[in-house]
Amino acid sequence: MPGRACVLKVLYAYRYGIVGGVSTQLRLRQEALAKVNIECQLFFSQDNGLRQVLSRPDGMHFGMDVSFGQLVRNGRFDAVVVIDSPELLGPARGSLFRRNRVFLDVHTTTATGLAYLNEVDVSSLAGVMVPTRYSEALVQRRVPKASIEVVPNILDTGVFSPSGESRVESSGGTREFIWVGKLDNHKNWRLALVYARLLCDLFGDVKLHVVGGYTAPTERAEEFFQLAYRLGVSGRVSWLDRVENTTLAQLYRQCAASGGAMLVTSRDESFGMAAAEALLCGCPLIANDLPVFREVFPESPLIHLVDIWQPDQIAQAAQGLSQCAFEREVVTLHDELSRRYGPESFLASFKRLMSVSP
Amino acid sequence: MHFNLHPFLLDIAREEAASKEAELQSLRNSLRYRVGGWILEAFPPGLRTFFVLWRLTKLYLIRLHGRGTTGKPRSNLVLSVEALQATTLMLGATLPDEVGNIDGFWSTENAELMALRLDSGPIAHTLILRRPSCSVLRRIARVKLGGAKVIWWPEVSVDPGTALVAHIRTHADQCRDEPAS
Repeated sequence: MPGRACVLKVLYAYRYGIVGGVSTQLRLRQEALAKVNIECQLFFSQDNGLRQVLSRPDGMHFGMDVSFGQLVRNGRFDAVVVIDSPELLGPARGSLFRRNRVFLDVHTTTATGLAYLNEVDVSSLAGVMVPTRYSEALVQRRVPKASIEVVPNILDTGVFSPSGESRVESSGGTREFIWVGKLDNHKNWRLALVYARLLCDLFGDVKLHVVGGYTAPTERAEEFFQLAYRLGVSGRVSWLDRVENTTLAQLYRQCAASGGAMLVTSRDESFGMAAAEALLCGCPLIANDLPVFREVFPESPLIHLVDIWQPDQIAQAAQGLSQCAFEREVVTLHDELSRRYGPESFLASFKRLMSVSP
Repeated sequence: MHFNLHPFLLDIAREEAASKEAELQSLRNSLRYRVGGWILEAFPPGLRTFFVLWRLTKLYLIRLHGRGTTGKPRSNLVLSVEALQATTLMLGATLPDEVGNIDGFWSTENAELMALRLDSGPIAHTLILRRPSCSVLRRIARVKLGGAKVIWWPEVSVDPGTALVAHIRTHADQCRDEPAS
């Protein structure tokens, strides 16, 4: 930020430098903070493919290049925000001579993921932040004494929008569906393949784009191919292990145009970033009826919340999808999500928590 | 007649139950839970108290040394300049006889090395697969999206009734299933 004094210097630290998910969110936050003269640097303990897809890795550090403790000591940060990485909380405090304000940002929602909270001394933290009120309730249950602030995620409403070029090759008259996430139990990826079969039975010509799973272990990858084969959908399922956001947005638009939808089989979510991004592109959602979705998304004919364990409900929702675009509803939904989760909402909460005047 | 999905749903439900059990086990294994148990064992003071103190000291030392050591071991595979600059890639040992010399050609029998090339090098024009490999197949949608043509050309007869072969046969741009030699 040449020529303008920084009002605050912040370091965000997270364990996984993975493409998408938290890392993407951090890039969006970094960009939003820079616009209000808050310098934000990012640290990832591991590089799980993130560095390679970055065009401008400004203000980003990876664990294999620099020790976190060293970065914290030399960086003279006003605040360090650690996301779901308890091993970084200690070094985040800095040296004995210069203690940092350390915040914990909780994005995980699984019982296993949240278990680390039982071992965190919240009294040593300057604050705890979460992306939704739903997450707030989950965290509060584990750390009742913590003061928790909801700092909403930022949606990239520029990249994820209903209009844009469609560069991805379309599959003719095929109904295209998309599922996005890591291939883990929490995201319930097996159920997505099972429903790919159901959708084939319903519509005949169907393609399911499975996006994510770049870091899935080999045995999980083998299981993926095996299950697709047993279900008879090997040729119907395309596994795109990682993708850039612009291409993902095109895929969402392509699915929407084909009369398809995004499938969300997750057992739980802290926000539902991918689902929100699909909706921004006008791609309908057939999603597990999670409380957080009712909090994050407004009512819309594009959103079909179902009991994900009931195939009849999936079938009914899929049959209710229309190939005619709900143009007005798409624009209304895009505008509403942009209003709720644009950079301004994030900045207002963030500044309040950091005690920076608006 | 529709495919019977129920056995698959049942499998996933079983896995859900197993995952809940694993979460419970993880909680039981958590530090606070274990340390709490040890402290209960330490009272009333006696010989056991010494063992508990020893365990706590050991735990402290382990965590002190383990702090900040996150990350997975790095692979020691290295790509040559030739591999990085190649535009036609082949996974397998032998080039089919029908194919003559190709400029910018690189091949390997090591599927992990090919996976590394697909992850780190520029997008190739052509990827020839002479054998099925999970590490490579999980990347082919990305390779195709980047504009590469994928050719399935097995070195030896392979059983078409396997998951990997079924996948590659339905996703390759061209299938040359006849054994080359």
